Amino acid sequence: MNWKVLRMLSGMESNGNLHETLRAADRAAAAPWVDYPPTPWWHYPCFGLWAAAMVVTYGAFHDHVVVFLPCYLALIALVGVYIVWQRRRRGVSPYGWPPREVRVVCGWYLAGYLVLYGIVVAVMVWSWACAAAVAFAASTAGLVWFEAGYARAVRRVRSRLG
Amino acid sequence: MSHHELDPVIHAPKRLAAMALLVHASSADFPFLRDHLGLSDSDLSKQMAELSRAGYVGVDKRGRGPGSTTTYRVTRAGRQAYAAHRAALEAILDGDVVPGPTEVS
Repeated sequence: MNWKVLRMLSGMESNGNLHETLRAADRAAAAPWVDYPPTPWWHYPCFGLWAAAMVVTYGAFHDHVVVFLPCYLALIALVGVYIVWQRRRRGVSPYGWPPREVRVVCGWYLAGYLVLYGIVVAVMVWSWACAAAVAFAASTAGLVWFEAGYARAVRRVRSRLG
Repeated sequence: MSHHELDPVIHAPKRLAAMALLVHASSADFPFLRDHLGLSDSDLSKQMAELSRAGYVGVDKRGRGPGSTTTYRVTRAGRQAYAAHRAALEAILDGDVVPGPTEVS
């Protein structure tokens, strides 16, 4: 070990601030997940419309590849546009595993979405228009629920990290 | 665990916090880092230049003037250095190692 590192260590320990330094690092590590601007109100119905559009595209055009494929690709491309927009708006793209409180909410949301997917597929057998309506309503409501749960998880993360 | 993993470049609290943030982001822009770390523009530039010189972060500058953006991302070397430094600090907290003059080479 060189003298520079030894000096650094002894200074750190005499100050007794190692715990606080690591805590500040933990707060910084959580920042990409917990620091975000308020979600605009139109975000929720737009997501619902996107989900409904996916269902309509499949239900109405899956037999017409010339129409189906461009529509489907356009909807997928919209996800890319959304990700880029969010990244610019927030100034950061989270990476890796979120804090455990946030992980729980994301897990429930993912599970809920898989259930919704199953319901939409089942309804689609009967009527794709009804399936689109279910997709719109459930996706919009699901996102509202997710955002509220996420905000609560963020408050718990902030409380834990001080 | 040994003190050899402590990294003087990362050890400064501002740079440690910046590295902790960047390790958990695929990229972060200048205003986000400045606002979250509570640093002035000049201080953040100085800290990030130090990390960049060490090869721990990559910098991407786009445009000029008021609309320009500066984005930072952690490099593989930076990710490894942060993990090693963090582990060394935690080992000190756990009492696994005791710094002493005998370790000076």
